[in-house]
Amino acid sequence: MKILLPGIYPRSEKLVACTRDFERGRITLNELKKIRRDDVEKFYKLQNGFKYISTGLFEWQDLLRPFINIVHNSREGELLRFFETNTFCRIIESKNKPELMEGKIGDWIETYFFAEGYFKNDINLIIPFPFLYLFQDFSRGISLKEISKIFIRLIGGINKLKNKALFFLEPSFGWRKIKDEEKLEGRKFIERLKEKFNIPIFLYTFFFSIEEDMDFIFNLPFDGIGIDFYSNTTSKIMGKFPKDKSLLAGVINVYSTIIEDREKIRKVIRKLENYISIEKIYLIPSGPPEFLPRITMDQKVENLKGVFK
Amino acid sequence: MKLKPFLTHEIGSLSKPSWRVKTIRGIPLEDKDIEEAINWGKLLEIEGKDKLLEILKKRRDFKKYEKEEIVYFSSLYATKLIEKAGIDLVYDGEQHRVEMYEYPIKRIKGFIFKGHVRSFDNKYYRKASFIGKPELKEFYHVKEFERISTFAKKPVKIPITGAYTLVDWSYNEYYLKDISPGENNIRKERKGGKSQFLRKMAREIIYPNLQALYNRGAKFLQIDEPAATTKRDEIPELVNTFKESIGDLKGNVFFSTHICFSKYSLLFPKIERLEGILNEVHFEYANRDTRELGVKEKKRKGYKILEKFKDNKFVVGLGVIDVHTNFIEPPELVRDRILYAIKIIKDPERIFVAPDCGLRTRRWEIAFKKLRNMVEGKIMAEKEIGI
Repeated sequence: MKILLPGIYPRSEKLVACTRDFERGRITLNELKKIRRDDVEKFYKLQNGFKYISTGLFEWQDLLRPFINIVHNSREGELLRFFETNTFCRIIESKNKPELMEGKIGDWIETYFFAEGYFKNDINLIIPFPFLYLFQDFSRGISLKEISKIFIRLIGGINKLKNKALFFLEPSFGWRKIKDEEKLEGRKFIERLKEKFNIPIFLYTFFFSIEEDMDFIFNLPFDGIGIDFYSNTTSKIMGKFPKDKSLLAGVINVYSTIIEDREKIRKVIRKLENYISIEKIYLIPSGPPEFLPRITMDQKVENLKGVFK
Repeated sequence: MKLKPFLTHEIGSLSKPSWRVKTIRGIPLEDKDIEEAINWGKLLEIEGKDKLLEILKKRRDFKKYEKEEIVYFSSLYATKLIEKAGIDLVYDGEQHRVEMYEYPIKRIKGFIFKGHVRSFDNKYYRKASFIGKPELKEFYHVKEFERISTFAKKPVKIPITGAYTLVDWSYNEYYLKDISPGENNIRKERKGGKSQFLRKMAREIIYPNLQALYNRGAKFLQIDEPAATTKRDEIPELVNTFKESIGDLKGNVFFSTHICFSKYSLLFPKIERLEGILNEVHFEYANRDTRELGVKEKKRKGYKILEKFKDNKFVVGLGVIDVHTNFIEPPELVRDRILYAIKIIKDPERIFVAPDCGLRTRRWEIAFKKLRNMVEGKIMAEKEIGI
């Protein structure tokens, strides 16, 4: 089944309500964890047959928060609008030199990427990370170089595990101008990762048109690139798409609850086949799945499975 | 409409008393809930509070008419709290409403709730899809306006969630139902679909609501647009939405807008096209400011955006109270924030004083102290400049 679901997956209505109950002291942490585990279990079943499984990240509050627990001298700051959405993310502030808590890397990976121990170490898992520019835009007092350094060490820990795929989430392309020196740092970072580690690495762009940066993006040594096809036009993007990389085609519309018309999706795939071989195409949400309610997202995934029948 | 300088007003929400929340949710009342009703009733000198206490004595299984009475009393209590603090324009802190999105959407045909999506941290809101022609089921703020007007001793200001925010916080599935991934001009298509949705909501939902309030005597209406700057390239659409929402009511009512926790610079200069339509533009400032006294730029760093108001005619709605902290701003701090604004704006008649946003996340004790100090700080500023 060629569907992948990177990013934070929506919590069920029950988990939303129970998290609120927990915060108000109405239920215990163990009760909350049990309900969260039910969410993980159902989500795992939904992904039966997928090449890489997403854990859902149901305990995450946003894409950056876990890093506070692995970076010394960092803390959560004010809320900042998450790009052009109505979701807000807390920035990470670092007043002194940010340093990695080296001794905690193993535990940190276990806590945040294995759904509180639900998944075994050797399962094919998607490991999501914010990419450098996203991290920089939502942090204060941490330079791109420092972010790269921290990430390389953390990814070293992930690389030791079998069957993982690293997905970098990055909506900054098309949202702001990425300066030349930032591009250079981004390129050096990915090259370094590819040189040191053998984990497959994907870039997941969303929310905006990547047209202006596509030459840069397409030439980075990623194994695959995700494109939001509700913000980009196929004919404008795919002409230059590198044939040796996988395409993560963002065709599940996260801006609408309407279930996709399978025939339309098949047509889109046929169109994409003009540019890239079918083996290299994966279908993904056009942006973070948590922008839809859980029930809708589940229905969309079930429906999409039918595209391959 | 000529109004006095440094007119004070609140911004919308107050928290709801526990005896109101629990009765509506069907949770039995405890002694502390009854005590809260007694104590605030005394402090605010609520007429007829014995009737409320009589109803609350039941503690559980309230009938529909009893719940309605309880909502009436929470509206009365909240309005009196605001009056007691000395505020010039009053309201009941949204005691009749659930919150600013769900409440109006439930009263408009064409929407269907789909489920919860994250707002921030572990906070979620119920998001709806727009699936058909929008049609008002009722003028959804008239009842509260009429009710508050019966007991308010000061002019009443009613907030209404603006069309842009209602649209931006909903899925647009009526005008964009046939969209295909990767199609030509897909971003343009999405933008066009949103413009149609905005126009419809402004003309057929917000304008009739504002008109109904005006027809019943409302003189102060506040259009809340917290989503105003969400999308950088949609400021022209936002401006048009205000124009269409207010229409021929301009000049007949004092219209303000409240926008918060946003990148305000994006609004300028396009928002200036609303001069003569919108009277007051209120932002949140205190949240970005220092707590140190003084009127130097370094101390008042939260008020930088005031520069943008120097050359237009808007009344500046000046947020001087941070609503996300229990810190009680001393009157001297409020005074200095106002005096700093005077340094930039020059004309005291162009400055109204308010909290940054609604105070619903604060307990009443805190909200009351904050509002009282706000009024005291305003009086100190008046003395300072001799008015």
